[in-house]
Amino acid sequence: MMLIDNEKFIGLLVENTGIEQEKVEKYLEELVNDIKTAFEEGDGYEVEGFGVFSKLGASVIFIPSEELETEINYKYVGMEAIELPGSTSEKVEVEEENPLQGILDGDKSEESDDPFADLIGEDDDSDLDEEEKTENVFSSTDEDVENEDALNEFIGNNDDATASEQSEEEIEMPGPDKWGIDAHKEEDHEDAFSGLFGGSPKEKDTTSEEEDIFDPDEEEVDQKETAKKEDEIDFSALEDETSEDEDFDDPFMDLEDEDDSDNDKVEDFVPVVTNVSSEKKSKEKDKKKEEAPVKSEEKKSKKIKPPKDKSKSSPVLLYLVLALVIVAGSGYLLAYFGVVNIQGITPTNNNSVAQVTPPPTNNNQSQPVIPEETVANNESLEKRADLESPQNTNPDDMETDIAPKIADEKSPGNGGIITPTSVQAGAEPYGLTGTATETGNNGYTIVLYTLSIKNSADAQFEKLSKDGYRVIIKERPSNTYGVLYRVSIGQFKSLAAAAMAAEKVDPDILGNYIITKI
Amino acid sequence: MTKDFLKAFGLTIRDQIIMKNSVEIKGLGTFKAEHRSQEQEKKSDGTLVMQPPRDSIEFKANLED
Repeated sequence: MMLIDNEKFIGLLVENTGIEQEKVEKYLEELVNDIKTAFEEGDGYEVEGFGVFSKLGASVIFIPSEELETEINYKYVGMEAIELPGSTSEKVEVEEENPLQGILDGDKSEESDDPFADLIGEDDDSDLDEEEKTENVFSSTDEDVENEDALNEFIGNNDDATASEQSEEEIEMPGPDKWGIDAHKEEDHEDAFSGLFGGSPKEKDTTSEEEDIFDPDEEEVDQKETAKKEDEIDFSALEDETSEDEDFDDPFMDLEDEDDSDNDKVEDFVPVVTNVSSEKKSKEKDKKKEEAPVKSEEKKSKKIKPPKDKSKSSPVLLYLVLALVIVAGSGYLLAYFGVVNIQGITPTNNNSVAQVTPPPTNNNQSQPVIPEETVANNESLEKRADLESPQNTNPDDMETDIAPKIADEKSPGNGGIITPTSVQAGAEPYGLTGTATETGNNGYTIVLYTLSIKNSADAQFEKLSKDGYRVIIKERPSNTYGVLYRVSIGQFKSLAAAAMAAEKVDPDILGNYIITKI
Repeated sequence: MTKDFLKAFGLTIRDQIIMKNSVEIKGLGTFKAEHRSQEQEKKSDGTLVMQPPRDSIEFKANLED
């Protein structure tokens, strides 16, 4: 780490541009003046590919370009902020604990106390106090209570206890430990399956209970009867559909028809599906109005007849569905394994995709750049180029030392190594110090910098070589800069050996190093 | 001031920053590479966030020279 003052900076510009020092000084002064005038006019000044100078109030800020920022931060590109779980858990616990306490405490006090309070007539003040406490914390429980009250009014006074139990069940539903999977099955789900498999006597009971519950309601509440009738009319409209479901269920019923008693049960059985129950309601209501006993027998007869007729047609539908599934599955498998070509299913060959990817396109850019720079270079660089080894090409070399855009590109055809390699017989192929060898180029190296100016890379080569390090400079194509020069030290047989050697290197030299394949 | 000069201006500073050197330009300011290690940051909503390490360019203006 060192300070490049104005004089050194001008010297570097002279080396890099080949422009005379006086002109460089003049250009640099013009640049500074242009930036200042831009600030006076309230504007910013952008150096293309470098960044933007702007003035906010009294302070001047520099916003690096996205490419430059990425290159500077290349070692940590892709890292994102991680939210620590412990911090949020506290808040969540605070938020979650209260509702649970409210449910446990408040619900017991409210839901359980309300019905008994009405019946027994306990002290209303204590209940109100508790309710007020819970109201402040959880307003939702109040809504539940209101809903329960509405339900109680709708269902009847005698159903207060059942309503409270239902509300408790709804709250406790999420707890699988208490209720199990079957307990979570709602009536609708059970009904659906019962429709398929013929139902169970329990389902009959539930339906009968529902009917019993709703029947007094209709008698008691006259105003709501109209709305219910409308609902019943709606459900009755669906009777045809549900009857089709019954028809569809009949084949299974036939399979279970071995026992005549079962048939009787089937006759009595009412599918738990709400639509079907409503059908019964509507039917029974109409029949009660007309003739109750005779029609019950007719129902049985009607229900018995359709299953037999439908049992003949339903297997055909099942077989058709199964056949379609089998055909579709077989077609998918054939397409998946390439027997039949179907877009979206048949996998494409990765090899073909790899061939489609364009080869590095920066060769054309790098070729004109290199001659321009080699003109200013010494003869030693030409000797280095002559000593380049062709064995160093490794197209699969994936480097992360530079920007991701650059990492996607392939290395030049000659391997890009422009440093001299030792051909001495006694030279060690791998190591941190000494001179680079051809055999060592098959191993790993410690990358220190990836520079955009060849003169800077050469300067680093000389400096590190003086310190005794085995320096390798490798060209890397770049979309932004044409060619980048990767400065690395050491040749190591394995990644672990390189990591071990990196610990011995001066930290000031290492910086943000990366170990990669040569 | 030519385009090549501007390009070389940016590239030269870039290379020096990558090599962890600071660059001082008379009448403009100093460019410097800074490393920020990972650190915890507490947001306004109380959540703790671990910010990753980061290398960045710091510019300290000095327009009076």
